[in-house]
Amino acid sequence: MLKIDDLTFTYTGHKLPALESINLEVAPGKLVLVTGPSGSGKSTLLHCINGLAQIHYGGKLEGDIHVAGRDTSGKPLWQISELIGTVFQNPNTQFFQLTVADEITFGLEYAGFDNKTIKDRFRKALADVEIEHLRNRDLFTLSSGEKQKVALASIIAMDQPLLLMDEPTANLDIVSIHELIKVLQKLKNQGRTIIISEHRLWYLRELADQVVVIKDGKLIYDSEPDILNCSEFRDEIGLRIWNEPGEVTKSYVPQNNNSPILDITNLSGGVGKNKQIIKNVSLSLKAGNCIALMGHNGTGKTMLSRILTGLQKQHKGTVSIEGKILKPKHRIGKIGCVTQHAEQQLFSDTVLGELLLKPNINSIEGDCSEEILRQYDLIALKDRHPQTLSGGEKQRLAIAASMAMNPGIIILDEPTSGMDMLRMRNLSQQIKKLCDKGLAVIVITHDIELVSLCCDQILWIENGTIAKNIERQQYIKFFNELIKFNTQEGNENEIHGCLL
Amino acid sequence: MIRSFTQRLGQRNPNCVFEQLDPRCKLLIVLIVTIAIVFSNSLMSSGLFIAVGIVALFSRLTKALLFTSSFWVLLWCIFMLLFHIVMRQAISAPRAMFTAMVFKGTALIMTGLWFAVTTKLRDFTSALEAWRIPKIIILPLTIAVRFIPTLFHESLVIRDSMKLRRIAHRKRDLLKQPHLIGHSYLALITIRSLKMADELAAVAETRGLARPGKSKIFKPAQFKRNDYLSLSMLLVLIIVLIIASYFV
Repeated sequence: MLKIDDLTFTYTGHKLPALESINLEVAPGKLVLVTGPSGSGKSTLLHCINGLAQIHYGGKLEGDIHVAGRDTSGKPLWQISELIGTVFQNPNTQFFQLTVADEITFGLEYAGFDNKTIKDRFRKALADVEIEHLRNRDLFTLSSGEKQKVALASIIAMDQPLLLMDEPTANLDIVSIHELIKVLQKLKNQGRTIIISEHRLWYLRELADQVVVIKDGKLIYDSEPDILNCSEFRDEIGLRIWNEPGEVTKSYVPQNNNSPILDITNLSGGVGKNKQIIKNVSLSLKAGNCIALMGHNGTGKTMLSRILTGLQKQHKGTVSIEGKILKPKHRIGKIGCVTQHAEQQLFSDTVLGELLLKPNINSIEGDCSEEILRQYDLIALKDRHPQTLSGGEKQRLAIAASMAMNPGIIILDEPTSGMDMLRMRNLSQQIKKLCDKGLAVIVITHDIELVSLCCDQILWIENGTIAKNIERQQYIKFFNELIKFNTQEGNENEIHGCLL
Repeated sequence: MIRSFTQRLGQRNPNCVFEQLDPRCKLLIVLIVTIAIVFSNSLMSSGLFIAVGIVALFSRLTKALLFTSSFWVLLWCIFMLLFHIVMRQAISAPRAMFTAMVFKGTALIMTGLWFAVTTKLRDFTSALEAWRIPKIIILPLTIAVRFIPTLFHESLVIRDSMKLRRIAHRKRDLLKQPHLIGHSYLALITIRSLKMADELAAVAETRGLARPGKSKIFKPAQFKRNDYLSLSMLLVLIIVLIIASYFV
């Protein structure tokens, strides 16, 4: 289905190639996992296959790429798009219409198919991805998982022989991932050839027929997936878990952690007519604690974070910080918050300026800012524009900017989305350092690897309330249940029963 | 307001009669109402304001109607006050000014909002294609319109991020720290828009939207009985208002 001969790709303006001497063959009907550390060239490989690298991003491509026996070099993108469908990482920037039905038929209409074909393919795509119930919904009201399914449906409706997926689970919760597994299995059974570039590996362990590992632009492994069972190999490359949860590290709670820093009592709140997204949440957090808030999308994790930070008013209950009950407007700035998209939190035109971005700054604060940059290993970049930094650097800067406000508590909302294991370990070290300084850290995440590295406790949120409190010694059992439960056989109760 | 408007955009009602009108009919209504408002006198503006208000109520745009009217009333008050302070005399025709600002302004904005809220993007583009407008104009227009909710969403996220960093987070900071708002908000939204536009362009190319040749419209735009009825009712209303203006 796909044959790549001696592919080397160098981006315009770069001296070193992003990909070097790649040779790859993919047989029809196979599901191929492409993995490797962040920045290793996985996405570039996909972009070379679908033609974007050379034509859209610009660069010099050497070597040959054949898809379904046809040479794609020199072909315009619309011709390549008849052979290859691509599902991108961010579902929000994949849509051209505002409703599900319009989005799926849009590509078919532009391809010039007749009405009967459009109707048949539209129905089949909805059925394959199991989103018949969403057909009249507006795209912007869908959850991340639903959006990703619509993106997939609009691509498979085009019925191209090769399907590429670039980190499709980066924005998905565990339930959505299990639903994606079902869809992928169905597509595979239909004989489709699928190439998936991913950091999150565990969900492909039953599906992948071939694994391709790329490091520093070079293909270092291309064979059966068995190699991923070897934890030494994964650790060496910086890959995430494959067939079992990672080792749970020792608790890192500092000894002098007796002072409660955050007290939440019977907190309820929501937005608009739904005032009970969060229901009667009570929680106490001591200095140096690091807890994980886990749960499916839409259960209220982000709403809880918004209420705590003062962005949203609570309907009932109190939030006290360092023993003082504070109203929402007084909580703003008292709790730091770094979200999944750190670039949306960087406003200045220099890295140092980011920490000084407030009125009436004095020279002492200026000195402190440089010290904070030093702590976060960003001092060498202090004159760079924040938007030109790498993903990891942006995230460190967002944390540093929050720290410059001297908060006692910091919330990290999905900090590891699209992150490899090596970067995740670095982030966990940073979290531990924050705990050492006496901060309380709340991590909102779906990634069990990060939780096992640095969180002392998991609060499982279900229907807006803390449904379960999981201690470190229960982690392995919990993670095993979480990543192995099967939505195919059971109903919703079974899923919850298994999780809780 | 932005949040509730984006939520309203996401809750279309396919059974609403206004959503079933042909977009070309709606465009004609917008055009006729706009021309009528521009050349209207007090009575006609009042009549159009009431008519637009009734349509807004049926289109679930009551909050937007109240907000827009209040905004224009507030602007009228500020204008009158400023006039009084600067000129040191009362304005000669405050009622005419009120009609011109509040009735005309609200009717114009509400007509535009009504079109945006009740028209599906695909219906709009298929209507344009029925008018034989070339694909090279329709495709960028489609992407530009589709970009609006994303921009709304981005602006909300950026506003929240600014609040978290206590950058111009209070209403009074609009006056006290306008430079920070300009510097932080506008710069970031521009960068984010460019990035998203690039991602959208890449997706468009991989989906073959640059393919030459004629596209096939699954549900082509079509003028139906309700479209003719709506246009006729509007024209009758305008004629009645014109005649009434001569007698009042």
